[in-house]
Amino acid sequence: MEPKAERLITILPKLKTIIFAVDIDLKIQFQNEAICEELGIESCNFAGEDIWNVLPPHIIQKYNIVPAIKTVFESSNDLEIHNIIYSDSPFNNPTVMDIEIKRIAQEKPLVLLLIKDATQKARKGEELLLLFELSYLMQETKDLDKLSYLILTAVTAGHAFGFNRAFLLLVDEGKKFLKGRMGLGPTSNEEARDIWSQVSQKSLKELLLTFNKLSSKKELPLFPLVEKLTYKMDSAPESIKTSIEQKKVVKAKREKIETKDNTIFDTLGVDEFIIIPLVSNERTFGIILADNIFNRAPITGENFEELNIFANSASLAIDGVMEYRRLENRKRELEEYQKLISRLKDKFRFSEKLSTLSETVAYIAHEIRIPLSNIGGFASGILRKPDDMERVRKNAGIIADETKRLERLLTRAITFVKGPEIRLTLENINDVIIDIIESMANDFHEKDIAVTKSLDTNLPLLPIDRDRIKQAFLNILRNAIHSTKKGDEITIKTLEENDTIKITFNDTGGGIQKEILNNIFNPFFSTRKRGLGLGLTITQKIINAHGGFIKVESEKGKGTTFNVFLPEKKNNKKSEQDKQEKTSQIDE
Amino acid sequence: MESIMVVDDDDSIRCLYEQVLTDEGYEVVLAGSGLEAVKIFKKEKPDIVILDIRMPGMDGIELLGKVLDMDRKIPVIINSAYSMYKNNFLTWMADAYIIKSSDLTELKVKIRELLDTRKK
Repeated sequence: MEPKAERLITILPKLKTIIFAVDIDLKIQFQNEAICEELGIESCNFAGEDIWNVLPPHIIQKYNIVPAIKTVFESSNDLEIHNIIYSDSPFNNPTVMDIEIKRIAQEKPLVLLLIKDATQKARKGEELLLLFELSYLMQETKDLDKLSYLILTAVTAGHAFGFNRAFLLLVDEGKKFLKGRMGLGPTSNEEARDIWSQVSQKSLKELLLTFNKLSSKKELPLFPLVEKLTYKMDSAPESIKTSIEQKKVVKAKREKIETKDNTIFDTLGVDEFIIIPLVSNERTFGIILADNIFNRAPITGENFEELNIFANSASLAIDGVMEYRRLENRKRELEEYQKLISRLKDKFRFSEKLSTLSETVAYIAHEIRIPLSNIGGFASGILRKPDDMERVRKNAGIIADETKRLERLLTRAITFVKGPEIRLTLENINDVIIDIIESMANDFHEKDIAVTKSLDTNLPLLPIDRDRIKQAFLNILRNAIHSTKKGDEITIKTLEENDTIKITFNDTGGGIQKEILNNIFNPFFSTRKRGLGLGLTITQKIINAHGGFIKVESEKGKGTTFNVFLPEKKNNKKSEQDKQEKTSQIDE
Repeated sequence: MESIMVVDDDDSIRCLYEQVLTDEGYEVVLAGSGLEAVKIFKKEKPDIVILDIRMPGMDGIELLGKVLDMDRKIPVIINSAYSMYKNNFLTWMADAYIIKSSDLTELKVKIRELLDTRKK
């Protein structure tokens, strides 16, 4: 005979509450009558039976029921023991019980044992916990395939919603199609048994990890079926449309009459399935289809509520991922744009170089044109009147001058193209400056410019190309003279500064406007008509070729300062690497 | 005698044009800058003006406007080493645009042509 204790618990779900009155010796005094009926026992009297014969002894021991009863007898306070789990075999769902122990006043002391079925309550709690865990996992997942897999696992996992199969369908971007994206579940009964035996042993997280082993969602066994689950939005089966439009869980059942809507039942091979809409911002952007193709368990309305909560959470997660994807796409687009821009910039820089080159050619052509046309013109003049000796002399003189002009132009153009060659000797920079001032005495005198020298006499000798440096300084001073008026001053200073000699040329002239200041070292930039615009370009090249550099400060109306820095030893300054490179190019 | 005013800041060019155009039988007046040209134009009232464009201070285009203000009908030839000013519509007010060259034939032909048209 089946032990009474085991059978008692199996009827618990029907009775909701089983009541025993127990005395201090743990003997049952009476029980609620419905028990007997349910158990089908004729003589329904447990009176006098020991509690150990009525309740499964391992439960009594595990949950300390005897000490609890004793406590209630002694203290007269009620006690409750929750979540007593009873399972008769590992294959059946366990029964969950709550036991309430109450002291009742009788002439003989008694306690009441109220055994309540808490299975539903416990399952609800467990489901809520699972939902919470799922939501958390879903919010963490940023990959749409992984997320889809997670959602479908939750719908199919026995300890969550327990459907046999689940499919995710999403509305496409054009909002015209509902497209099957992923399907999860076995493809046959045998597979189902295998999977379920695995599933029951694995936690949800472990299940999710299995997806990482898949290289593509196409490897999932249901993929071919998923591809068939694509519908035009306006001609989708009515049940799906209803779920999408009304944003609620819908149970679809095969109609007796053959309609076109029945094809989806044929495709899935079932007579009923459930549709869970995925809604975000008032818009249904997809659905989950779930069925019980293998165990044919009927779809009941009991966990629609949980499904809804789950669907909301899943929707949020999917929408989040799609938003994330959109952002990622946007980011990628932006990066593409940036690449394009930098490519265009490179192109532009190249064409800028080309245009500088063509400008250079145009400029040189023009500079050649004037002296050349003069030479031609004056030569023709001689030819016209070869006997006019005065004219011949005058024209020949002009022709000679213009030829010199051409030669100068050529020299400068070549210097510019080739860059200066430098031959270093140890020189006193102060001597060089004194030299220049002497050679330019006339220019200063003409404009009545006072030149002040402030030269540091303790400077070391510098390795420089004396002629080149002279040329460089000459260009700076010519520029200064050009920008000064009568009576202005020019100051030249030398001093030693961290292994560098600093030579300062300061004028009290008109100063240089910012836009112009940025251009002064550009070739062919000139504010003068009769200048090639190469003077300062060449100066810079010469200074750079010595491993030095130039800094210019200027304020409109107050004057300009050129600071030339020359290293005491050539090529020994790392910070000037950039310029060194230029130098080596020039040296070639 | 018909008189020509040559405006150019390049000494050699002024000298050359003076020689060539005097040989052609014109009276030549010279100006080395726009400002000088305005003064001389008022005094000498030449029959035709030849202008350089790139000059320091007042450039040829500005001078062209001033000259035409003083005499709406005066023929003006722009004579520049550059062709790029042809794109500047202000130069279209001039009667001709001739690029500088050692061969002054084109310039001489144009001067004759403009002076003849003016007489009619």
